[in-house]
Amino acid sequence: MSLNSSDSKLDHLNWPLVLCTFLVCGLGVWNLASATKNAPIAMWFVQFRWMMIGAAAVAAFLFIDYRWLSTMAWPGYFAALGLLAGVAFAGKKVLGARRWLSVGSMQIQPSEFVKIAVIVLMARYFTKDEVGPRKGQYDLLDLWRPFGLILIPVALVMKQPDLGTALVTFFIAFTMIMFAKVKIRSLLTLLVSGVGVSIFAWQNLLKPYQKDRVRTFLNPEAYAKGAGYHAIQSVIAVGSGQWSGKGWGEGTQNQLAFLPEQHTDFIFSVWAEEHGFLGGILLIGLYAFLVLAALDVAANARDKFGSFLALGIAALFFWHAFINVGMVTGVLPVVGVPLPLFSYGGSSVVADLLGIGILLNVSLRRFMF
Amino acid sequence: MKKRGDDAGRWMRLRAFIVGALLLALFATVLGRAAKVQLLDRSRLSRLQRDQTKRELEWQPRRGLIADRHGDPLAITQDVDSIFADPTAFESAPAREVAAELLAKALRTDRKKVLSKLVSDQQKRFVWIKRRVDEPTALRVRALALDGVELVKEPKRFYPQRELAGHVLGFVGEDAGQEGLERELESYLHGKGVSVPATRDARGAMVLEHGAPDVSELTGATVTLTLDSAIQVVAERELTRAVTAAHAAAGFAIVLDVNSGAVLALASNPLFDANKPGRDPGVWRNRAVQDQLEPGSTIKSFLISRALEEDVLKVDEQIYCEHGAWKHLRRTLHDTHPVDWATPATVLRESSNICAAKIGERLGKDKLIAGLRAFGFGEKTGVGLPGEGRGSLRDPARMPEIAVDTTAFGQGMSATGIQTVAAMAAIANGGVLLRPYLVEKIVAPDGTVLLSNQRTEVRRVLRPETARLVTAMLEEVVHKGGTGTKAALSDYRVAGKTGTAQKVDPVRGGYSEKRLASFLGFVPAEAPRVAILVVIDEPEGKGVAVTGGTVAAPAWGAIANETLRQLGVMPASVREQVPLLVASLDGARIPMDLTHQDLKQFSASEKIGQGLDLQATKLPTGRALVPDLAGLAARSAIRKLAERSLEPEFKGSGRAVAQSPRAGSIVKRGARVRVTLAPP
Repeated sequence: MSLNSSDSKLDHLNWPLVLCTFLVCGLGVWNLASATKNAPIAMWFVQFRWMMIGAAAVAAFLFIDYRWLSTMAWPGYFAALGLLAGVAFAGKKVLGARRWLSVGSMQIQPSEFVKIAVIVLMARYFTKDEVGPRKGQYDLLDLWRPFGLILIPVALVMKQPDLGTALVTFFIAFTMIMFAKVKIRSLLTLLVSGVGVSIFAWQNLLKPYQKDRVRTFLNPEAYAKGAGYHAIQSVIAVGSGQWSGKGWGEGTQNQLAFLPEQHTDFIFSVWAEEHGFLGGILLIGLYAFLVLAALDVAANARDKFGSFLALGIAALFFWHAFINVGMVTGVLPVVGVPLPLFSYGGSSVVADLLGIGILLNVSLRRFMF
Repeated sequence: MKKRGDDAGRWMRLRAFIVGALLLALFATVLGRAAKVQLLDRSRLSRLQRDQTKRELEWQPRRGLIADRHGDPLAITQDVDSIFADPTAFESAPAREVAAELLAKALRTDRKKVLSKLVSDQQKRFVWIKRRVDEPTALRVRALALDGVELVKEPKRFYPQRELAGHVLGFVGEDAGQEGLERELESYLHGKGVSVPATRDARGAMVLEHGAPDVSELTGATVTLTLDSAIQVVAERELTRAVTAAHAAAGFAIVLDVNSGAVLALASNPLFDANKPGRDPGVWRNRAVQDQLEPGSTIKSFLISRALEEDVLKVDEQIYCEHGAWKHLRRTLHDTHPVDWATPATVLRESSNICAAKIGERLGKDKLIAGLRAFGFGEKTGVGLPGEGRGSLRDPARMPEIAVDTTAFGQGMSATGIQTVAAMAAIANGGVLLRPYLVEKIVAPDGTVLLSNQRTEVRRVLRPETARLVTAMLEEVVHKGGTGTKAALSDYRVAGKTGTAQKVDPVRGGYSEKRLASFLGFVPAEAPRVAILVVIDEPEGKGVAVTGGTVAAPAWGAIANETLRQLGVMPASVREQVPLLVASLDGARIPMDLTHQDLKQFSASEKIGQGLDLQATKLPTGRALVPDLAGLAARSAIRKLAERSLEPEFKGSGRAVAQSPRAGSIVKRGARVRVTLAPP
């Protein structure tokens, strides 16, 4: 609705995207309230507060042209690396992993922001012809630079250890590289070498608990009381939701603490247990809509940089939602990946909302000069 | 420059479209997976979910109380600690071994035994380590605070008076009564287990949906016996003394109320403590009810009764007793005390076998056996204990002549102690055989009376005149020159009969040197109250020294004297002095446990009715009045509470200084009363 003129900024705002985001955020807080019913503090409110902070940041960000991000790509990248290095040395250890950095009384999780930094850097890398493809299309030799740039933060995240975030970060960057003009032969080579790297990683890089996760994914019943416990309990939760679920706050798997990490990684189990298959369709539909809206923004962006940015954000939402839901329904191994705007966690919420902000910004400025 | 080069834009849109389609396809796979899990596998997964959360929590039944006629608890149920473990809780084998080591030390058992329980079934999350341990052990285990080892309260049977009436009570095995009344009254005592739906969370904590069941829902009925603890104590004490003094193998004693059939004491020796039942069934056996023995000379009382009743014998008739030896039917019968001519009274006094045989022959096979049957021999009395013996009598149709003679002096037949004493009670009460009973009443926790026993006539055996005549004769037995003088009491008139039977040798057949010495009788002879039987099995010594008169009679006398004192029966001399008081008390229905001393107090008090029972004030059913426990020791407090179906819960030791709820409160039956004890 425009009050003044046809080129009012509000008019050009991507309202479907905004609405969809609000819907996901609202359902997320509502669901979190059920998942953390027995928690000593009102975690849903803490989450809500982070969403407000994120929304304010987005609103402020809309006044700046997204192209400014291009100039911030390298500083942002190095800042992110610095934060990761800080985690490695001064991070707070929780449950055997060093992922958090204390800033005052807050705990922030830099790996969440690293994803955004990587997206921005990749977008810049493939738009500025600083180091373009030598023969019009990228071949393997051209790609060593972007891969190298990605692998440094990915390795640092892996070291925390946080296999899920490391994988997601890599997948996001990889999806963006697909969009650059890469030779088909090079893609195939990458796929083959990817398998090789996976085998190498299995033997040399993965921690025992990470290997356990993969093993139990392949055969969860054999680990019913051990590492497979989480996977099985999650599938039981989802399955016992049946068509329409048990109702808000009625999920026994959730309320009786059978679900591990029910407010973070397994938040979708809570949702599916309490709202059933229909609720599941709704939520997956919303994520699909978000991803498609992001791709639409990418397709219609004013410039290449905007397209790559939007594409990166689409990949961000897609990989998170896909891996998370796949994990809790038992098609993928248990790797700790949050469900965007649903899982509890300030850093992840703010990072996801920043992603939405970037989409809105790119979308907003496609008509402007 | 509104748009980028069309070429680049189209390229980007194409890629976006392809990637979008790809991602949607991936989303679709996830959705498909969700559909499989939530729609196809839903029943299996829902069942798994129910299985791991829904539990039925079993509340163990609590056995009801067994109390004597005054409400003194003889068998109670208290909560004690049981120890169990979760074998999966130990992280490593060394951790398990350390736990086993510590537990074994606390339990004072072998380390390997504990370890095997922790190792045995590692899939199971529950294994009993030791059930129903005593308090110090529970404290030691609790102090260890081991992860995976926990304590839970379970009801345990206690017999606070230890050996007292052990054979009557029997004991309880893992779940049910094994012997005695515990077994006989299982269905009443057992109580009801209640299972309550509960929800289990992932940590194993249980949430009860409707709260815990009320104790009174679980508790079995309260059984009140006819036994009188005070009399039982005396019977057991005197019996033990007699058995020990005679170096005998065993013995038993019964005290029976001749006017009602109520069993006041039922003692067996060797003693048996139901708190430690052990494994020897011989010790558990209630000899007074289960052993079928040849009664010996005590049978002559019944023989002469029936002979008089059938008019084949006259009271003042003289019978020739052959001076101690009678060749008859190719055998020679002997008497211990040779007698020439004797009246029936003398036959009893001197216990002449020869004259008894002659009287038996006068009755003849049919009347002899029928007469003994009339007295209850050859049939179970139905006193209410498991394994009661029937005894055996000859079949008159197939009975040799000589068997008439032997039956007449108590050989070639068998009887249980309870049969014999019940038969004597029939003579005492004027000729009516009563069914002996041990259980006065059984009351459910809600106050419903489930069973109530009263005086039950089986049949009239003798005319009152005959009974009186025989009583007079039996009085002579304890008079100077009789066989039972040692049973005589200074203050009361005693009627009784000795018995000294040779025991049948089970191996060789025929009679061995082993004896069964007994004394059977009742007091006071002029107005009988109790019939008492004392039997000493296999006293040491030979011949004259070991007879019912020497071995059993003294114990009989001691038991009789104390029983009468407990029953408040005044000596004949005293009674004549206070005829008025007795008459007035009869009207006031004084309970029979009052002692002489109490009677005096009663006569002084005008408020007789009020002093008797506080409960007489009408209470709604299922309610109880909390008694005043101030100053009482724990045992008396238990008794007072038990009378009102209330549960005690003690703190400290010594005498009661505080209680909650207050005295005079009206509470639900089965409610807990907290009593604080402190040293006086």
